[in-house]
Amino acid sequence: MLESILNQAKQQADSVEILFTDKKNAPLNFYNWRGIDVIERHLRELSIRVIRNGRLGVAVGSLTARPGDLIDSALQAAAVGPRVLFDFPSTPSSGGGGIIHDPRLAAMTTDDIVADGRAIYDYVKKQGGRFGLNLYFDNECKEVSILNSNGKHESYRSTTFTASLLSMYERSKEGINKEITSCRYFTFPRQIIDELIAENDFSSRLCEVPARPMPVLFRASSTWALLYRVLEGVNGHNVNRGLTPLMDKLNTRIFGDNVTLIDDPTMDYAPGATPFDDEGVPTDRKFIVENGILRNFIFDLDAGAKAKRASTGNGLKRSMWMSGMDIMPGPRFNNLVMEPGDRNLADMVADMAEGLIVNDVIGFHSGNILQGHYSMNVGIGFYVRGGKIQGRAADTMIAGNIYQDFHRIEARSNRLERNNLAYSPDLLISDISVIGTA
Amino acid sequence: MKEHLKKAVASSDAHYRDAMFHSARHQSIIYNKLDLHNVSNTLISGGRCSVVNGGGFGAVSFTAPEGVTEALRGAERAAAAMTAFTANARLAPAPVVVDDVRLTPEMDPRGVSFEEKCALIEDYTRLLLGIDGITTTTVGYHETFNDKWFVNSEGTVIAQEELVCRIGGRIIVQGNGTTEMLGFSYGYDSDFSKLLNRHAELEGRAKTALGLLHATPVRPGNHTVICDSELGGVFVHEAFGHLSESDDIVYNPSLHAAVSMGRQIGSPILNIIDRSDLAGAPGSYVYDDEGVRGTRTYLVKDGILSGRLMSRMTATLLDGAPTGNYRAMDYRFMPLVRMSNIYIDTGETPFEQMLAGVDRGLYLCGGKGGQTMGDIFTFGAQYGFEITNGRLGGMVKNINIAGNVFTTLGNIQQIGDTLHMSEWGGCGKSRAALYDMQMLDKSGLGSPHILIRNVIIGG
Repeated sequence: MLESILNQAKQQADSVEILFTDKKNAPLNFYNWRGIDVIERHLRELSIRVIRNGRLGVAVGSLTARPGDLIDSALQAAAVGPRVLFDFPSTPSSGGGGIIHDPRLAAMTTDDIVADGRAIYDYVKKQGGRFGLNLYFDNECKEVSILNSNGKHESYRSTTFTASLLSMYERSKEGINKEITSCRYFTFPRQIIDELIAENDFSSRLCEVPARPMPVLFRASSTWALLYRVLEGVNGHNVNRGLTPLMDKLNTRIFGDNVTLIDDPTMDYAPGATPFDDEGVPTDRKFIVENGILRNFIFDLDAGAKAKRASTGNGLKRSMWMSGMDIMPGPRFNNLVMEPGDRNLADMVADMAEGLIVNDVIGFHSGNILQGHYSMNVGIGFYVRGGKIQGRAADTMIAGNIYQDFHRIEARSNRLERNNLAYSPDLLISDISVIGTA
Repeated sequence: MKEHLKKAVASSDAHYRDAMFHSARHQSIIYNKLDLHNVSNTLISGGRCSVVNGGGFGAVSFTAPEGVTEALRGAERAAAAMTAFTANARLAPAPVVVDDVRLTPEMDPRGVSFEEKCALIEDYTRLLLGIDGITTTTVGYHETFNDKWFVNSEGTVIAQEELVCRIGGRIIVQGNGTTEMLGFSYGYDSDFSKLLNRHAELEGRAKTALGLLHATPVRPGNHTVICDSELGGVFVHEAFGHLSESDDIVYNPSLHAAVSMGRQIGSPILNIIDRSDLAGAPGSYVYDDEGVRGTRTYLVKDGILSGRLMSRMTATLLDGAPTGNYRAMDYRFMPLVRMSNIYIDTGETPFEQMLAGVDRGLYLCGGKGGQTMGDIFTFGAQYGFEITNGRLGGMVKNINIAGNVFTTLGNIQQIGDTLHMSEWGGCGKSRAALYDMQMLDKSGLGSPHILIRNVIIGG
């Protein structure tokens, strides 16, 4: 079927690429001990990119009985489309990528997941938790194929299991979120449920936080908001347009020497550890920042060609909150990993004379992102004095700039957790501008 | 397709079942400066079946057109699986509707050629790049056409078209050692002619962007603030509107209590309305995704909480009536309760009079993202001006506003006499957690100028 679409399109275009996904998933929500719903999906979607007379045309859609409509649509777009300097890759993916398929997930049913959810509620109840609690599960099985007119024809299968617990504070629909996503089935670790229960207890006391610079412990769940600035900084398009302050900084120091960021598509069971990107370019493991030194920008085919260099295998159909066929490929990390440190979290808290723990931020888009600036509300955070959590930080904002703050990381935890941008340790950074109300 | 859906729905004896099929065509043309950066066409089609049976609710979405009957079987199984946890799903009654909604825009974008659309973008881009200090522009045209069929087991059969076109982008300016960015958006309606002849407004927008290069960071602290209609709209949508969406409170007694009907939350001049039949506004439509006709809902009347947005299911649990706000991004998603067009209704104070009454404060313009946590909100303003002795002064930037929504609504002291609906919209929302986010285009917002005391501004 895909071959015939490729051949049909090839007759009218110089180059053709077809990306196809056959995906089954079933997001299942539990609402606060009381309600439940599920939507099971079976979606077959494709993207067709054609190059004709040096111009690119794209069409995306469902695989229907008439794929000819999509081909026509791509050709129509190419008639006036942007001039591109790239062609689709023929390089085979040399067995890279981690293990990203778990047969156990492929065999799981909705009934199994309902049982998992009930088990979490039962455990929370047994531990005395009486707070509002939503659960979310998703079990996705996907087959991705890429074909192009330069002979590339490869596929991979992946599974992704997501489980999230979201406590809800009084008068709120939000609270503390603990989430795990992996390509392998897991039972939600009790240790993390216990942490949720403890943090929910701490939250019952609201603390006014002083307005002055102090150490901030960014929990792994919040570091994405800082690392998003790095993504924008190394995004090949921003480099080409001269918008990033990093453009002349390759192989020079941009952060302190305890900052190492690796884009690692070879990590087993990491969502994103795929053998090729969404343009068929083989992925590989590379340093973005090595001991504080900037090592690589990331490019997709388009940004790479404009910079007169190759794609780095980072052309992904992914945005901050979404991924999907209808997003155009852009330079994104496959699987960003921030190197952990050697401290355990409890010690890091115990060592704080005064400071703030930040679990989650709101308003990550505020401030001049390209320049590294941020100014965010602390969504979930805790005020610490004398090494002890005093309570939940009320009405507190934090502000800074990663190009300064990442020189002052005083400690990193020894545990990696995955947030929506990276596997990250908890980071203790000194002298962050904290604006509280005390 | 209608007959296909009817047949599938008739094949099940579950208590309630529906089936929808949706074809959507989305076109995007994006320029970076005068380079055509990206042209994309999306042609998606697929369907969704839902079943309510024995107190369980399940849904299945699919892309294969022949898959509707199989999907309905899947939805029956999913509904049964759900009853292992709870069995409280019921639907409030809704009128049976048979209708066919066709659009007749004054200037139909589907009849405008690709080349004409490109020429319009180039025209606006040339205007911008001709202005000193503007270094980069991204201007795009976006058009979405939806063709939807909906059938349920009660006899409702609806065919409905939806069409939105807009032109918008980002103006990037450099100078004075910094880079600043300002967005713009025109249209966001089915009528292409609204995108034409906007040169004067765009030039004004460009001047504002250049002004940001010399603007000073805002002084953090408590300020008296006048919000323009864009910012007022963002405030009422983000900070208040989401609390009116009943699917977020139906299983959350503590949040429910915070937004109990009859609670006084503002002065008697405050009225907040959600309205899906506002001609030309971005969030207007006729029927929602469970076949209920959209309407006008007073969320706040004379300062008192007086209504909320309901689906058929939340209406049974909250003893209300469905309001026609249950909508999904497309067939891949389960609908959520969403705002249509939310706005603060007009008051009596002309802007000049409002301004003249402020000794020291800020005039803040344009919304920039936004997020809420329960009754706490935070969002940015794009730019602003100092107000001293009733006059506008220097420009300020880096403005973040945070606070408690009820306190802030209570601090609204004056409301302008002219309502302006923004020519942009859209809203992101997910169900229980930050997953499976649905970006819904058809959601509009607006407000007159509003004067609020004691607004917390962070830099």
